[in-house]
Amino acid sequence: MKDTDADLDALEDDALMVLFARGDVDAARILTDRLLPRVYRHAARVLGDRTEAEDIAQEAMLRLWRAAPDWHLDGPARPRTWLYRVTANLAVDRLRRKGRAVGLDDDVASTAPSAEAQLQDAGRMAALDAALATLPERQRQAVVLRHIEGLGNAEIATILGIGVEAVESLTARGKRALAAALADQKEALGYG
Amino acid sequence: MAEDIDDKALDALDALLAEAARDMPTPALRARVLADGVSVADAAAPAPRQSRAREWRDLLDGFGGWRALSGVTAAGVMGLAFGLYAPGTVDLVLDGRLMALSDGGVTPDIEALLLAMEDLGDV
Repeated sequence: MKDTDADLDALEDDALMVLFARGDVDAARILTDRLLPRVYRHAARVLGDRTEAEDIAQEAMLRLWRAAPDWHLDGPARPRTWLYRVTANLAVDRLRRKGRAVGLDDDVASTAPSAEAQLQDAGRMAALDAALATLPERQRQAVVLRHIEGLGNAEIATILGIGVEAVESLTARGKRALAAALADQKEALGYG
Repeated sequence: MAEDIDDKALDALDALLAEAARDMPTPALRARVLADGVSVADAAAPAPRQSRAREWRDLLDGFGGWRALSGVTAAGVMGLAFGLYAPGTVDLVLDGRLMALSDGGVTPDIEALLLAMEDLGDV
């Protein structure tokens, strides 16, 4: 008998992947609702472009669907972690193809429009995206995963393929750099 | 520059980051992702099983469903199924549920069907 939504909602993502591999499209719906927002937000903040973020998010989810037949409940990665890693790699590829990658850690900041310029056009999210764009790519990813997606340092380390101490350093420096990039926008951002 | 950052700036940044955490994909993107999932699932499904299930569903609908069959007719339809297909490959539809006959014998669901046939009487 078909599982009810409540039954499926109680399952971990791994179990839903196995069900989807057997053709359960309700499992796909629940996985989409759980994971797509995360993938989309990650891509949107790293790329600073909603249209490109949608492309990346859809591609990442398509790879997840195709990976389902080979998914094991006792495998090395959770679907969420695997998906974030795919998204991170797709985003970096897109940035490099467009010439917008800023190097891995402490290289020179990008030439993206300033936060102030973005704020004149589109508002708070655009200002955040512009500020994020001033960070080196890996620092940007770490800040997004830690301070927007709320992931722990260990999971971020797995996603980015670096050590936990490196994650701690990237997120701490990255958040200070973000605050500095937005320092001129106090009134527009609602404080000061 | 980083040393000039005060608590108000950090609080404002935290508020902005919290707002970013509520950013959601569009319904259109969600629909495309789900459509991709259905496509992948359909491409992976074994076609012969599905087509046989549909054939049986159509056959049973022609009789008016299982409940409309007398016990003799139901046994005849089951016999037709076993005669036409090897037990290891038959899929049956009962009350809208897909059940498989394993190579080793019938599933518990098929046994329930056999009991239901007795309930129909007229055997």
